[in-house]
Amino acid sequence: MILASLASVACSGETGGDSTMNPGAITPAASSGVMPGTEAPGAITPSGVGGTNTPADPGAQPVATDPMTGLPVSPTPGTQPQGNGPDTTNPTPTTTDMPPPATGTCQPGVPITSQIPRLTNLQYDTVVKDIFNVSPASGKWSDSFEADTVGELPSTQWANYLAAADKIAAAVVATPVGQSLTCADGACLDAGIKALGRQMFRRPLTDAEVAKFTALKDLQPAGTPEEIAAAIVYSMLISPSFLTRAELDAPEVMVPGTDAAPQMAHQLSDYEVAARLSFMLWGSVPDQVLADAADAKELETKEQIAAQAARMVGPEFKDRVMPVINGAHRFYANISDTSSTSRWGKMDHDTAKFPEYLPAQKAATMAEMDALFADIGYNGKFEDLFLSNVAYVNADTAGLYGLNPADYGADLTRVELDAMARPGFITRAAFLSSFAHPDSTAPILRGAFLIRIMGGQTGVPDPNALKTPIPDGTYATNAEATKALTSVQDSCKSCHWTNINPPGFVLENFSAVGSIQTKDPVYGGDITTAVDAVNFPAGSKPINNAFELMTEIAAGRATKEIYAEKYVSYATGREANDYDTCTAIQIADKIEAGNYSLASVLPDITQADSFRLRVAGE
Amino acid sequence: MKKKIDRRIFLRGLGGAAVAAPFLGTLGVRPAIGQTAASAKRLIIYFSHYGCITEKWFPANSNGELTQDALNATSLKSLAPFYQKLLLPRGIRGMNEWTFGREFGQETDPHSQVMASFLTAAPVDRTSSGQTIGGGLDFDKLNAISYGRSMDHYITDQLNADGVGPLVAHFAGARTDSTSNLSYSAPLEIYSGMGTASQMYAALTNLGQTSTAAPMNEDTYKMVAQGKSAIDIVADDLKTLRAQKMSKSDYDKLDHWAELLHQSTGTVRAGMLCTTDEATALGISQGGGGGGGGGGGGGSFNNNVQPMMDLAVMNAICNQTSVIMLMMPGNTAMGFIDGVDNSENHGLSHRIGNANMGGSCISGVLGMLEKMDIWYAEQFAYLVGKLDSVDEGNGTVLDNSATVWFQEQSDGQAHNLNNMPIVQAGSCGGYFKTGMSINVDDGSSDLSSGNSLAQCGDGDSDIGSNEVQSTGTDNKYANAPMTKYLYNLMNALGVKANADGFPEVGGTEKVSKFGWSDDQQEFAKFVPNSGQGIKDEPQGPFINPGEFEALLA
Repeated sequence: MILASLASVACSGETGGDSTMNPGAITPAASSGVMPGTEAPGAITPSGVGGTNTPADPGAQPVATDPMTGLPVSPTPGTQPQGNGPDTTNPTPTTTDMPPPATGTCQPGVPITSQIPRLTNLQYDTVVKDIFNVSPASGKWSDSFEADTVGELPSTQWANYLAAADKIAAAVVATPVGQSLTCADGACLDAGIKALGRQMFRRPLTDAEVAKFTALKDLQPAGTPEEIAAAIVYSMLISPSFLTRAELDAPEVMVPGTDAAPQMAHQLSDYEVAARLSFMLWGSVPDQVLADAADAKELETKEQIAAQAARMVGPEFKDRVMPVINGAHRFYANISDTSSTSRWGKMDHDTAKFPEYLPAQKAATMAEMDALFADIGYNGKFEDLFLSNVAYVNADTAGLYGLNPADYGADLTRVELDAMARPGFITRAAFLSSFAHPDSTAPILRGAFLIRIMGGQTGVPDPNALKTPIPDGTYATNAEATKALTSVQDSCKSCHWTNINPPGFVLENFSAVGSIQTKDPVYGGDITTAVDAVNFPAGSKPINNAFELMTEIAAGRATKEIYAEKYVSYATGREANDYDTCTAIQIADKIEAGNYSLASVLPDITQADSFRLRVAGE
Repeated sequence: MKKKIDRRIFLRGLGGAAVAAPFLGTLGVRPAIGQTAASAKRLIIYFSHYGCITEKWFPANSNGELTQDALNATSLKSLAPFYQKLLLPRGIRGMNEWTFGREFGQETDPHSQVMASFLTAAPVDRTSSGQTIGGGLDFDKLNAISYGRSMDHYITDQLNADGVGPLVAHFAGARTDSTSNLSYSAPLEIYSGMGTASQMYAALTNLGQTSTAAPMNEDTYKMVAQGKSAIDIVADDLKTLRAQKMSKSDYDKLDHWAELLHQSTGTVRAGMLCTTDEATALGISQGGGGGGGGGGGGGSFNNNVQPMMDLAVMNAICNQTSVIMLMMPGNTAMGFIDGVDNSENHGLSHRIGNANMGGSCISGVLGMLEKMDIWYAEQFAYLVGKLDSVDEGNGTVLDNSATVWFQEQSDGQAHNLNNMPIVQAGSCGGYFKTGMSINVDDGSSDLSSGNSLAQCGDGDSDIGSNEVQSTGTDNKYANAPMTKYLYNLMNALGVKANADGFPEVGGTEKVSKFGWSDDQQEFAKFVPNSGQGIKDEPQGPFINPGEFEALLA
């Protein structure tokens, strides 16, 4: 767990979750004296992120929350990120039963995982579409489902499964899959059941299972062939072997553990490995090639798994893997429509102060982030995240980047900007406008985001900090006002001035809506982006502009580790933990070595021992 | 007009769970073959105290189509799956609001006078046992009691057989006080109902004696295959997984899932449910769990809610009564909700942890109140889901009913009754529009969602005594009288009125008036009789008779 190894200091007026999400959280100047468009400092509140590697008693461990991501920064056994993952393409971390607390170091071995993780809603929809090719009018069967959770199946979700299965079964009857189950001949029906069951359960059905499904044709009163087919599909759809990615008993093997104490782990079957591969890479069931490989027991070595993974992320399957890649990057950046801790795409702006602002820019700029992450995540390299000059614009957003809106339509168009002026996703309008106030920039918010992704100090503000007014004075820029504001208490000044403010100030040439600004729209002074020192994990450096800042961030070792850790967490569906930290570090090593395609991240995650092995909890 | 209560209803695959466990999850019900009578209509009222965080509760559009997205953005998100079956009447003012200025009602007690007038549309009396405060002013808090008879009894008069009244059930034990009851069987006579699942069960089976002759009904293939047979397959699958070596956590999940099968089409196939023998055969016993606390108010009641709702659903599908009222408790801690402290809900609604008006805010109180709202909505959604899972006629029991969540007030601190949060599920047999918010006041789509967040937000540590009503909706808005919606509900059920428009057995007209008056100002003028009984008070004026036409399908 990388974050836990970093220094932990909390001091910021606007790094928190809910309260800072709400522009109203800053008391209007009229009632509190807080000047519009500024942030307030606060007393330091330790975040609870341990700076040591000492395991703690799970029962006594405070669950610290990363204010940027909303995720616990120190995993708690039996818990998982809840509702913080990406919203639309998210196989949100779902595995539970984590071992005792992470300590921020690589611990060789295999984490404890549930043997019956339930399909996420996205997986459910994807699987049903892939197997049956039927969709409701809304596009998603899971529209009425509960949010993804681990733990016991909620009664409401069980009812939802039943209701969805009824509708899907009715729709399937007319499809080729449904027709394969309508034959009157017993052998024919058996074959149809076995073929469908092989896909849905990701393993061959047992004879007993086949017999139970077949027996549905013999019930009284008798059903029509179509009714029998629907009943078979319905029964499979509500079976735990479909709704969970069950991993059953298997022989134990010895794997390296801590302190030279070997760890016993179960070897996954070829079918289970195939399912892990297909769900991790596609969010769905194995295709025929992968299923054949499982049947042939050709998924037992790292090399065999690597070959399949490479195939599955290849150009032929780009569309299938892209939702996972996008989801991982949304998770990394904490982009979520539903999480209260995510600021992205939720900020409106004052059109009087920013005439170039249009409400439609919110959706368009967020779509740009998906497009950019998809491009970089599949075709690019790590440094592109921070240095790419690619943008995606439409008529609503082109003006923000100094382009002529008349040259663009409603759809996003890929363009290339001045790389020096617009390096990477941080300088895209989505970030800049989301991490801003309605009427001004928010250097504290921007700075807090940056120091987290580059592995700097973290913490949460005292809620009272948000009410601190800007001291009386004359200021030329928002940066000056922010410096004054963050000087109110010495305890805050040390953190804000050293860590949070400087990277935020470097981005002050980007307005609250994402356009370039040279004059401060609130205070009227000239904007400057140069700061004497940005406190990077590797040491402080003077920084003159966004390009220099992004270059340093992209080069940072901790930035790479944090990115890899988030990716691993998303892909495996479990909170970051010491066991997976080893995998994250290996991926960071590859990024560090250079010329590493981000499309390789997922295949590399499959090479961990924990991908082929599992450990059951007590 | 008397309703037949011996209508034959047949159940398929009722799970054999005890009262304590939910057992109606996907229960399918259909009328007997050949039955052609119109499905019975019912009014099911779900009631909670102390209003809500209105800005979080109301969907944004006050007059137009409801959407899942709009509901998902509110405390009502658990109802989003049913959005097409919901109706949100907006712009309504409840009867007899208490305020310091006495503008819209009497000034006896902020809660009991509202409760007493809620379904009676009648003013209140002060009982002799009330408090006397400040300089001998007779301020009978908690003891206002209605001069009127409540709507539910007028309905059951006409629609129930043999004098059977409404089913009133309190989730935290039966309460007899006037702050906890809406139902008045007669002026000054509180009809407090029952407070345990066992009582509900007993009432159900006793009433069901008239239905024992109903024959078993033939099932269809789908009922059998997707009922018991499919559940058997699931059960076997769970058993196979359970045989694997797993962690306790995983075993617990499997065991819980197996329990849920009892909600689904289960292992017991039943015909008529409304008899003791068959209920016993189904594992529903009078001594079953979920009985609920006796006195209420002293402990967590949440475990009683869904079992009692299940029994209410049984009552509905067995047509035991045409009105069911399910009462959440007031003055009760709700610390069972994650993130809500164990202060009683009345004090929390005041934001300060006690019944005073004004004081120091409890830290995080707005978030707690929102969570409570969400929990209330989830329970209502559970009820709605159960009713909607039961087929009846061409629709479901929900479709044939008006299932209404009323709240005592709009905002709990302001105690305001304008902009009442009301949500109805089901069209009552096609009488009401559904899938819509309808602003019956002025038809605007941007009606205020209130100001519940105006006090005790971040950094706001106290509420001045002059600020307590600032959390309500501006009195300029949302003032259409509740009485008109009561007329709607009665007409939807088929209640008939006399020539003057008042409900009356043997009447032939639609209900267009009810209670003492629909004029809030008249309530403000009404002087209680201080426990001396009903005064010789003439009927008050009706300035706006007739139901809300805008709500009609």
